[in-house]
Amino acid sequence: MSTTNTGLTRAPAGGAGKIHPPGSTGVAQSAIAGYWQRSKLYLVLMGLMLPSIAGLILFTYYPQYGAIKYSFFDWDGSESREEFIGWKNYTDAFTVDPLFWQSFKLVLILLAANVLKMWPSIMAAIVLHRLKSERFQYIYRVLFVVPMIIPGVVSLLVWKSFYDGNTGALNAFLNATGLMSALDWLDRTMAGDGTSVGLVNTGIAKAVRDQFEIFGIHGIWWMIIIGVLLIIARMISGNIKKNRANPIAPYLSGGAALMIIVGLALALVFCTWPTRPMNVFSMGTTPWLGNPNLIIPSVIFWGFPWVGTVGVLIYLAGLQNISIDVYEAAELDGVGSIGKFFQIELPLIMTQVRINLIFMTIGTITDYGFFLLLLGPYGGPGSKGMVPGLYMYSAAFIEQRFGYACALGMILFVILLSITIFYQRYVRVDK
Amino acid sequence: MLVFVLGDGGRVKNLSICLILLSICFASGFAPAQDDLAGARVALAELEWRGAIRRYTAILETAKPGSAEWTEATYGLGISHHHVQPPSSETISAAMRQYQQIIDQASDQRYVARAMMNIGRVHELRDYPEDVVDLTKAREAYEKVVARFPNDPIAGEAVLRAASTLVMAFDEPNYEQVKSGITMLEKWLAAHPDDALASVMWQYIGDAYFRPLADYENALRAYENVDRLGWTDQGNQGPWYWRAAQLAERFLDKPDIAAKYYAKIIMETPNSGKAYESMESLRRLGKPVPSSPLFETVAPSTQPAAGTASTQRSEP
Amino acid sequence: MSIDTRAEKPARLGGNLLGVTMLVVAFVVSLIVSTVNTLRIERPNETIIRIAHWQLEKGYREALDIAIKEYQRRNPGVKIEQMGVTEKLYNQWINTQLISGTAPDLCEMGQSNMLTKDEYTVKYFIPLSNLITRPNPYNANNNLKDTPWKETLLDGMRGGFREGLQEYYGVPTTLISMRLFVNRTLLKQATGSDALPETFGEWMAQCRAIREYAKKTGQERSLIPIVSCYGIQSIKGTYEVPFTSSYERELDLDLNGDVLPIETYIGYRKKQVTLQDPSMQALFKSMKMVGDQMQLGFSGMDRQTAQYTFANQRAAFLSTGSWDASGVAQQAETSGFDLAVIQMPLPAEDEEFGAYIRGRQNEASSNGAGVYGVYKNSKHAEQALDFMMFLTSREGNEILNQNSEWPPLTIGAKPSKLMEPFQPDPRGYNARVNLGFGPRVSQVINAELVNYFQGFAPFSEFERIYNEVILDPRRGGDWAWWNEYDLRRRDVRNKERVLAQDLALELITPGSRDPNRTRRAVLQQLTRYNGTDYLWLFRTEREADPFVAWKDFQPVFP
Repeated sequence: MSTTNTGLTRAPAGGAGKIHPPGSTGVAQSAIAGYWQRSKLYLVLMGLMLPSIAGLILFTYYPQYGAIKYSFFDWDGSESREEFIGWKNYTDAFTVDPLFWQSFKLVLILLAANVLKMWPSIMAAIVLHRLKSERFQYIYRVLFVVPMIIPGVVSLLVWKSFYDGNTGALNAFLNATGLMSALDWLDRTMAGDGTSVGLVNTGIAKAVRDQFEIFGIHGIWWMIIIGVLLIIARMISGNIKKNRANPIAPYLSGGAALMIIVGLALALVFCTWPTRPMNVFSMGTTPWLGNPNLIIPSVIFWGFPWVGTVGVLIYLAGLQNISIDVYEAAELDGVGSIGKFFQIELPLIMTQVRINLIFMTIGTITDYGFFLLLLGPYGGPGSKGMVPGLYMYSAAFIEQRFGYACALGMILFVILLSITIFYQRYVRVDK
Repeated sequence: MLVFVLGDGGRVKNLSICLILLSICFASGFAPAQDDLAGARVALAELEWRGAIRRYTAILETAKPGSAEWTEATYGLGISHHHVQPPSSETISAAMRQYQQIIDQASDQRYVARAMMNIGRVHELRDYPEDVVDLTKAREAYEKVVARFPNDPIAGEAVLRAASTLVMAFDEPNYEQVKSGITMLEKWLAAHPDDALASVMWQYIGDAYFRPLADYENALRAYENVDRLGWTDQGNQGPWYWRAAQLAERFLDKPDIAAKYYAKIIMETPNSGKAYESMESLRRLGKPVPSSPLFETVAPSTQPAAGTASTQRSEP
Repeated sequence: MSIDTRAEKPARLGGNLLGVTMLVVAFVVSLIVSTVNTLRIERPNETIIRIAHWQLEKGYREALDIAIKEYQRRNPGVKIEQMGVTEKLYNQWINTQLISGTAPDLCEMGQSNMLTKDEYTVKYFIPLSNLITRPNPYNANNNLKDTPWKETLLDGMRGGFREGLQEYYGVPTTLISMRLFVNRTLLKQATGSDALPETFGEWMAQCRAIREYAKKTGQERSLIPIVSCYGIQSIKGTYEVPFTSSYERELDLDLNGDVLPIETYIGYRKKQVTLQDPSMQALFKSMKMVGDQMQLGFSGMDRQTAQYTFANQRAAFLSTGSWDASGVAQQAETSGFDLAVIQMPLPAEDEEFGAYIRGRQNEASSNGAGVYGVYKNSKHAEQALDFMMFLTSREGNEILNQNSEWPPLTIGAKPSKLMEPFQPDPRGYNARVNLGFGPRVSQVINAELVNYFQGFAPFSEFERIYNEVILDPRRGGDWAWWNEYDLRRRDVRNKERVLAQDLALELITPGSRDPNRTRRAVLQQLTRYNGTDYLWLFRTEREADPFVAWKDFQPVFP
């Protein structure tokens, strides 16, 4: 093979960077040679990346492809039952399966709770960041890292024992402080029969839960749906009026926030709190994970005080990137501690908040291991702890409907992708 | 990261050579050792249908049509296509082609007969989602085997399969097809009482009389014939013993026959779960109760199970 | 800005060097260990059999070692090596070994798809049908000397049978059973007597006395009468037959001696059995009584907590299986209390619910456990099989199970003192009403019925949800029926593969295959009717056309 024909000539030393008059052969040859030199390097580099890419394709993307493919199959995990059934698994999920959609209610509640549970980590990171002594800051950082080496299962078992009705620390604490009696009182009074005085009486509960039922959906859930619709309207109107003032945007945002917050609060009270007395507090051995009505509150309380080590370290990394000049300028302007938090720190770590928000959302929607270990494959008594991930697991490994489980997985994937795109576009990041 | 570890281009070249060599080693590891009949038989024995297809196809490239090697390879290729997973219309069509080649060109008649039977199996079973079951075509295929090989042991199997295409048509009004299937088998058995599948046939007849015909007298008669010939699924015949005993005791008032089957449950299938009830039944019928080694394992101090509670205890 | 590279380089190199050194050392050590092992395995003058399992419970490995020593004494020149692998790792480990062709000669079957799925089993393990019909030579000195090996085991070797392949691929070595453990010391403290409960009524009376005692001594919050390692469902399982086996006569349509879930569903539709029947109510109410004597909200209690509670003398009764017996006995010894093991007490005739009791559930049909398969590529497959014969001979099985404190499987093999109550009781009945027809209905039973047993929901709530699901054609009984029909016709098609293989190999090498195996497969295919019997059953029993009833929610029809 002729090197001249293919242009595979080595460039003369020092020629690669010289400026040649346009159209000269020397220039062209040198450019080609330079390009080849660079290409060779790129080729080698890309070649070195091949094993990783191959691994990624083989172990990450191929199984995903398998999940998409099998979501259109009636597949029991073996080769003997593998039939193409089109969209049947998807239509089943939307029409036949109330439990799958019911599991999203729990996820919605957990998502709302987890958003609130992100705040302690942010606060902890800020407190840590503002520590004057570098030595103590280092010690605290180490203290935050140490729990990371404890396996998740161990922490889960510790918390499980913490909730144990007879020997758990939570009941011991509540009994010792007298809070158990207070809970017992609340249980009896809140579960009023219409005559007793309580935070929630049957009349209000009925009005909200039953009277406002439209198309088979409770009024509370309608509030949340309307809130989400308002957000979508806000997004659309924002896009239409991109470079102009958008007078209705604040109203849409405000309305959405109001609807969602109030809706979730009502849902928490009316849809997770029974109107019948539970009678589980009087004995002092409250079964936090055994009573269907206590499962959701227990799962929400799980991990108190909710200072996640990874989260704190991520926020801390963001905080440490804030220039000292900004603080100095703020101090000159007379901004106080709280002001610094809202006007400097929080806006400048929004990238980290967004990352954690995405991880939290993905974790909340797809998690099943926690619920499986805690409550078993059926989601505990009354399936109150059934989350979509667990439902997907049950469909695959208990019912042997792997194809259907793949379809549920794809639905979850689409939901997650939409939420992630939403976060990316609409969680504001100030640089 | 590897770039940093390896440094200059020379080492990169070495790495590339290593990778290529590694790939060759890998590829050679997965390549078939030898495409011969022995390898194909191993693949067949391990239900490795894809491996068998590859090997048989390679053999057929050089095998002389009609030779023993060709016959075995074509038949092997046929059943491999028939059963490779996931099945499709293409694989089943390929199997049918190969079976037809055997029927047309093979000299070994054992292969021909089996290929003809397999064509019936293709028609009878639903092989892939869009496949249509055609019991009539299946029956015709089986009947062709009987007509061509009337004195071969395979004829009995073909009759049994042909009869089953009639019997399994449970939905026929008045069960005419079921009855004709039973008649077909009974005629064959009258002429060939020592057929290798005679016991299977009688058991199948008994089952068909029992359900859907609800002809308990004839069902029991058929089961008695099975018992005379010996049960096929040795060790798992307990449920049939129970059915025979129930038919005899509850529906036909034949306590002696019932007692015979109860005793068989105790002695021959004690772990079928029905041995204890069989003992009770024998006592109820006033018949002797045989002993079973299984009941020797029960500690004598424990109380009987029926009616009252019992406990076993130990103090380690 | 200048960078002091001299200061950085040694630190980076030092860190890197340490890592690389550790990696190289680990690699070299692994290489040496694996080479030494390989050389040892392949030593020409010695027959080495490797046996792999995941039974790392207390005593099992030691017991297997004792059995191995006895076998080696009788068979000089043979060396057995046992490889205990943790339950979590067994799957990955055995898969690697099987694929690389270096699997142990004997592998405990389970945990991994490669050990449970038919397509792999046939590839990697030796079929045993032809071998297990001969007597076991290690039984030559006892009354099993003429009995076929298969029949010398209490389960008829069913634990090793593969339905899909119509073949035995494993040899079970032990049995498992559920029992009630009693802390007699605590029982005496609380009730004044350590007499074990003979009847359900006595048991409940003792439980109530324990509650009273707890109240009096201020242990109301910590002392519970009953705990269970597997929730109340495992206790309910042992009471279902006693309370509901009488339904057999009416519900067993095919007279096979058992009530299948589909037969229960037919009976439920025809109101031959209802949730309000006195015997069904007796079952549910008695279980509610048991639930009342367990921890409040007991479904949140796991196996470890139940054992811990019992070991710490905070519960008088523990329901669990034979596999936990050895550990519980040791805990009892450490804690210093007297332990007894009994079967679940049944209501006596003159007690509440006694009128509904037919008798206890027999345990004659339970399958053996601890199943070992012989690896196909084993160089000493015959010797490996010989070791399994020894392990399942009366003597060998006694050695293994007496020392491991597991129930023996061989007929006539004596259990250890602790295991005596765990020996399967062949007396009693087997049929029961099985309400869980289909996965969705099972989900309701598991998730909702427990609410009633815990006292958190009335029975009517369970009944409402159960009816809502089981009568829903899209996810209840009709759907499960379609699924059963589908499984049945697929089963016939799957058997065709094994049959075709058998017949082809017989054509190639006449006389090489077992004709009985072929006949058995043909019979099993025929008696499943390609599923048409289930279609017919739907028309006759549900009085509806399955194609009309099912077509809206099922994709493919023949």
